[in-house]
Amino acid sequence: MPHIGYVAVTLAMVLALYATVVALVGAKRRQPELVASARNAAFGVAALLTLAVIILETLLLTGHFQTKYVYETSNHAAPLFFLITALWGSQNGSLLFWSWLMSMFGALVLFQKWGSMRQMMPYVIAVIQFNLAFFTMLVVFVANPFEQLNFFPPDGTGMNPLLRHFGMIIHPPMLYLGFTAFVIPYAFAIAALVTRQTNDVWIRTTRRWTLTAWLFLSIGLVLGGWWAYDVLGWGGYWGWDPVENSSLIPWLVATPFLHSVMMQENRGMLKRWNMALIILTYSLMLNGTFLTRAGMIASVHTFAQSAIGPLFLIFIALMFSLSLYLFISRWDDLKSENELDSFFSRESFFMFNNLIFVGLAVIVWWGTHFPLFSEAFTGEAIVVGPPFFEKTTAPLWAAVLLLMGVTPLIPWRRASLKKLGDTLIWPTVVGLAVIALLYFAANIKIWGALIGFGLCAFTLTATLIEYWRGVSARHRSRGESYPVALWTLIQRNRRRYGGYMVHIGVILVAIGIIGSRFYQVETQQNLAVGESMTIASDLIGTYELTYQGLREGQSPDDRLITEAVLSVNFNGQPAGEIVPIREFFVVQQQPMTIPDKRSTLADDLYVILAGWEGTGETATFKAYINPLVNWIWVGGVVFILGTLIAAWPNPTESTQRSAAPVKVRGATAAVK
Amino acid sequence: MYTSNDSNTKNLTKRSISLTPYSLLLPLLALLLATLFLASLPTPTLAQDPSYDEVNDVASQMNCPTCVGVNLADCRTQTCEQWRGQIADLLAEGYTEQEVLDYFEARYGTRVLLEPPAHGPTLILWVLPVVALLAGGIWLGLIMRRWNQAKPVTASVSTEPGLSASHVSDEYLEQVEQDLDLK
Repeated sequence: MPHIGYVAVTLAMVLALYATVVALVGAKRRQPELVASARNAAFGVAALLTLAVIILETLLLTGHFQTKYVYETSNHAAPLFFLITALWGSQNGSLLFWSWLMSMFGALVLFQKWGSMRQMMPYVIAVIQFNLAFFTMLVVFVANPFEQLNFFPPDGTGMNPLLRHFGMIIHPPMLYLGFTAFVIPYAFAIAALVTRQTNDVWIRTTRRWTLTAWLFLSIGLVLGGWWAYDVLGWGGYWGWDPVENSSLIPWLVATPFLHSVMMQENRGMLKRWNMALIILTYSLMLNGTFLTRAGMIASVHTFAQSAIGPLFLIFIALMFSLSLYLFISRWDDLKSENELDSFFSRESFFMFNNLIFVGLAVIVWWGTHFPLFSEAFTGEAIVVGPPFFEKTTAPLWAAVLLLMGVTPLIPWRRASLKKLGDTLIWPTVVGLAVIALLYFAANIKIWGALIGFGLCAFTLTATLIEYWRGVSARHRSRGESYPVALWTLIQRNRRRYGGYMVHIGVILVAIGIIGSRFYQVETQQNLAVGESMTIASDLIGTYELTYQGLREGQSPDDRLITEAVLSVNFNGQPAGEIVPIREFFVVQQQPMTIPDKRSTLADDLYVILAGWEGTGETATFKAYINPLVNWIWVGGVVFILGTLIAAWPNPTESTQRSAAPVKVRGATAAVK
Repeated sequence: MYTSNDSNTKNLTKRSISLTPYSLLLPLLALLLATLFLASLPTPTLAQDPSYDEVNDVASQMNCPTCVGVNLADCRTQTCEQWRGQIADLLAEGYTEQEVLDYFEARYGTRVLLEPPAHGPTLILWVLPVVALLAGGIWLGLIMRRWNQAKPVTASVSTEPGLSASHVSDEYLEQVEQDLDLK
């Protein structure tokens, strides 16, 4: 059966190549039958890869340990959930999974858009299938999950212990869904360049794809942070690790892309920017995948080194050159339809937005790749740790927060300073009041935190004002009660008010990051049974932890579990127990230090068991107080909700998706 | 000290110096004075072993030497335990935080530091972001100025004939756009 799987992937690779070539030839020679054949081949690729995935899953679920991949990622004792998710537990399977996702998206978009976008279809097919050809080629020649061992192992080695956590195991599929889905808007962008249809048709067609891809990428990033915090036991959620960064960088260019396409739809401007941004998103996505899989920059995440590296580099260079060539040759086709009326307008603020996000992407990319350059040019190995990224990006994040508040309130085309001042006066007042309040009443003196919280308050107020304006307008003009007005407001304008909700989510995340980053407190101490340690935070209070003792046990799937029990007192009052754990995976000889937390909206008390002597007469504990950290996860949920709302089809959408520039229709306007 | 007194000289040459308590007094006094003097010198040494927190303050600015991307203060391997022990020893000897970091950098290279220094070959790491942002800002300013100065040929397409943009107030446009759910 494994051989059938391998043959299926090989056939898929061949079909993908066929589809690429035939689609292009069909377009050049204007032979629709050829393009239709390419389309069928694309469906065939999706079907074949589905078969391959089913076969691999079957091998995993039946414990076919002679298959090397099954041997390396599973064992008899593994629970069903981890057997299924072993599909992406290691390099080879995850490459197949990735290819499968991309093929399914490719097939889906063909279903959706075949009728409406006929002229672009050949090029869309060619781009997607060429990508698929590359990835399946990797699977076939370099990363074959169906490879057989020449003996019959009685049991597998099991999945990497670090992956055996719900958040962790969901995180790769989310990221892959995001990455692979970005091929769709990219393919349409290339098709638009080739066919010279450089108006906003390609953008509107792929808007939901872009939003969906971006949503999955965002979820993947948040899940990765949540898992790191929950399981790794170093008290933080983002380490600026090269692989983490390589999924952040595409997000950093996809976000301005999402925003500045609004400008192209409304004003026919920023066409070159948008083309550049989607090309960059796609290229950086390939770059990121390459970093993760090729092991060229050391990271806690990387898969083992293999021949994948050089092949990837060639592919990235090829696709980037192709994109660049098309972009430059169609430069004049991408001319703006309108001019910039004022430096003080929503258009110019969108451009600032683009600049800041691209700046962030450049900085993070630079810091991530610098060790490679340093080693190549000076021979000296360097590690670029979090301080570089934090210091260089902090002012830019602050600027993003500010823009998020100001831009929705600035009109298109031209804003009068006075009008703008009137709109921004309340957010500014609230922002300054919050800073004063925090400084005097909450004893927050770190100026970075003060500015951060002030900006959050400013932008939150500005965003809520937008809701208020809409709700009160409906209330006044239609007599709707406020809750009904809010509901219908969101219903009728999902894109806008869903988007604002995403902004609120971002603000909540920012509050969590500012609190936990600036005010984290940690301490480490060795305790004998009965002894206590204290950890205190100016903002939160004082915890007293008393060591009660150690418990040892063994889990059904061969893990030695050592639990330490500490009783907690918060500000003098008893507050339950906290039980940090050490797990030792006997088969892999790998220990994991798993924290226990006492979580509230105000803070997390976070404790790990660092070590113990003898049978636990004394033990060493590391305790952290992370103020406001749970706002990050809450913000993440609001963020997701907002994106879902923004992506949901608008009931009145079909009648409005006609012309791009804003038209004033005097008769139908209802002016108060 | 030496008198020309015959009896004293005779005493000195004929007999060994007697170890009376008084003759020990001077050396002992001298020793005591010396000890007190040395003890009174300002010393940066800690009175006891550095605490875990003091060690972690330094270790958190360094990388684990063997694992990848793990902070020295968080790593639980034997090597990292030894390194933290070494940090503790250095702190006990009176090294300041910066001196400990310099000590490790001198022996193991810049890669043990979490934050590459802002001088030497790693200067460019820090300089490039600033340069890139400045360059980007200037370029953006230039583009925007060019767009602003270009003739507004197509601007009139977006309004009905007879109603040029300047005659229509922002508020009116806002309300219309909102009602039409076009924004």
